[in-house]
Amino acid sequence: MRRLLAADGGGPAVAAVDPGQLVGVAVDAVAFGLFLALLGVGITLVFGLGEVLNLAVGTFAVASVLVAVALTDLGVGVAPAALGGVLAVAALGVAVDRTLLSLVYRSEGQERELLGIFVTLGLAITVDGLLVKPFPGSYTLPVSFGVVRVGPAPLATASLVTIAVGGAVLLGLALFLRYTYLGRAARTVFQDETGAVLVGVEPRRVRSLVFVLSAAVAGVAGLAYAAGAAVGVASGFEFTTFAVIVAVVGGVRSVPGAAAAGLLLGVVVQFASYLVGTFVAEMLLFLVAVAALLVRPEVFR
Amino acid sequence: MRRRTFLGAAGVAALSGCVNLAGDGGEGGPITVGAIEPLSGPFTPWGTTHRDGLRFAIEEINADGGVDGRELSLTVTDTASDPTDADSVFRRMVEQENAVAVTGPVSSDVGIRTARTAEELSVPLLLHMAGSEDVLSRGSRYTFRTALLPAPTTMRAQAQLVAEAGYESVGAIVADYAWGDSVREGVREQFPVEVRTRTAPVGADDFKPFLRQFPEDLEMMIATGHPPGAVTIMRQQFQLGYEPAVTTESGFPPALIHDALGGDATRGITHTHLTDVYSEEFRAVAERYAEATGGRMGTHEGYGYVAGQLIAEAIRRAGSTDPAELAETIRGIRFDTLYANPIQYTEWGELRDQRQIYSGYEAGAPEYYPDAEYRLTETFRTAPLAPFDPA
Repeated sequence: MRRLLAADGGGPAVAAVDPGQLVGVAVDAVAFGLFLALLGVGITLVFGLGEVLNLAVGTFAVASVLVAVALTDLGVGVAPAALGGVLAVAALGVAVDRTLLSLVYRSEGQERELLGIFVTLGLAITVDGLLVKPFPGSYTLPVSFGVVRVGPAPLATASLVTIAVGGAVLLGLALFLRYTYLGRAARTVFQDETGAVLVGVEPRRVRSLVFVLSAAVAGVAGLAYAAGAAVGVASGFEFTTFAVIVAVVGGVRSVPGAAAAGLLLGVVVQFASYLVGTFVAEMLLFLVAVAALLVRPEVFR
Repeated sequence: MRRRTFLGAAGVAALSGCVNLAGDGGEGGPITVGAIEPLSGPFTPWGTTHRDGLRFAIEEINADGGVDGRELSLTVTDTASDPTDADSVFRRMVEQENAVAVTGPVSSDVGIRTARTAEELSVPLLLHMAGSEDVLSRGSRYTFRTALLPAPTTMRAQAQLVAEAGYESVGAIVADYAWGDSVREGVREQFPVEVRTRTAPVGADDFKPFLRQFPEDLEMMIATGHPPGAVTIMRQQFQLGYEPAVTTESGFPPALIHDALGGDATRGITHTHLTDVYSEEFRAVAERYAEATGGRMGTHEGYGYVAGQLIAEAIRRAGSTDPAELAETIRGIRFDTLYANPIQYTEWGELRDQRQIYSGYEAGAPEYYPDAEYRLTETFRTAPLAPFDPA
């Protein structure tokens, strides 16, 4: 099969689409989709429970990577350094929850939503400002993978790692929400906060737990991404944008919806990047979000 | 009353600034050299290495008795690669600190802005990187390249490498901004073979979709045109099984590449530079540098060292610290230093007849710094390169 590719810079105007490469693109697509799903779930969990749109989710993802990179520079192994990164953003999550979010949760309804946006946006700007001096460049996790081939198709091993880690985290999250007391309590607050209080659930406690959990999930997402690509302080804004788009498309209160939307968008973006170029792929991402808002304008209500 | 006192003081200060535009810090006093370096932000590794080499050059010059009996004084300010800040700092250095020459710009944005300032103030500006060909025009008289050749010249150099090695399967990824556009044009016009070139957004951090469009037998990957993504391009090409014999970048400090890639840096990653790290002259300076600072002199410390020596040599030859005379002297200079060929300039400040050196990475240490984890190994050296003519 031959298709026209964007001959954007030179070389053959018509390039062959290698069917073998399509397998590799599919693997990259699932990996990117899981990365998006993790970010989207981070937004959805916090908004569903506390009606706070966490615009610092990308910053949590980046901070986790930078802490891990700093630890590896100190001679710590990659796996413990990654764990350190996740623990660091979880600790940051605890601090933010105990201070800034406590103020936000004092308000109700639309006032809380607006305050949540301003507070988390301010948090992202502040943390970015603190990080940019010690981490001025872009960083990847110092891991070197071999090449895996399925037939003629070279698969990016970093993508396989992302699929394994991302899939495990999403599965773990699903099991947590379904089978543990705290998970069921969280789902109860999701559905009916008053009812949850009547049956003895403390919404504030559950919100704290879920906020820290979402920060840790964002941290894992960042680390999985940094296994194959460079991440810098400026990436935080891009990651937050991805997360919001995923939440808009999947439903800002629906964890399974966010996971499915992340996977769908990952597939769309990766195949569009390969077949028609990154510029069109980025436009598609935003067009899908706009279309979702047109179809379901009540998404944030 | 207070207001009048303030205005009077400001007037005196302004007058003193005007007087000092002549560039002399006072008979017998130190001569000030300014450095506008990116010591924070994305170009920090360039700024710190250049500053360190420049500082060492000035310390050596002063230890040898200075220039015509006067010490050099270095004033360094962080610009964070902000063109407006760089412009303000440049003016402050000249008008308030009497700098006779300024060096340091790395990003092309800063280079373009401060080149205008240099022409306006008539004070020599020695660029560190700032490789956009838009930095210099035919009318430039106070701005001089010292390290990174403009994109058309750099791509002519890489075309020589392709012709010499006989590569036929070549790919390039360029960014969608001025430098990337220049590299793409350079590839199109200069290369003896057809190059499959793809344009990626400047903020892209996933190049797998582009890389998958290149043939498996890729012999050369040109990452020169996408500086922000070059390291990711290198990592992802290895993840996808590509093993080009050469992958070129765009004047990164070699330690930055080695820190980012570790052992993968030895897989054909190629550092392009003018500092001749294989010469006896470089080795001698690097040994003194290691002894004095405990650090390793790399290609970019070399650029800072060359900038300091060039300014000092210009003052010696001009017999004056007047910035206009220094610029005139630099334009006509033939200065044998740490480069393969002597430094010479065109009327408009482009380097003439320089030889670009291509080096791979290998495990081990150079003789002048035994504690290092890697050393460079020469793979190619261009013929003398004609300067780029903006006309």
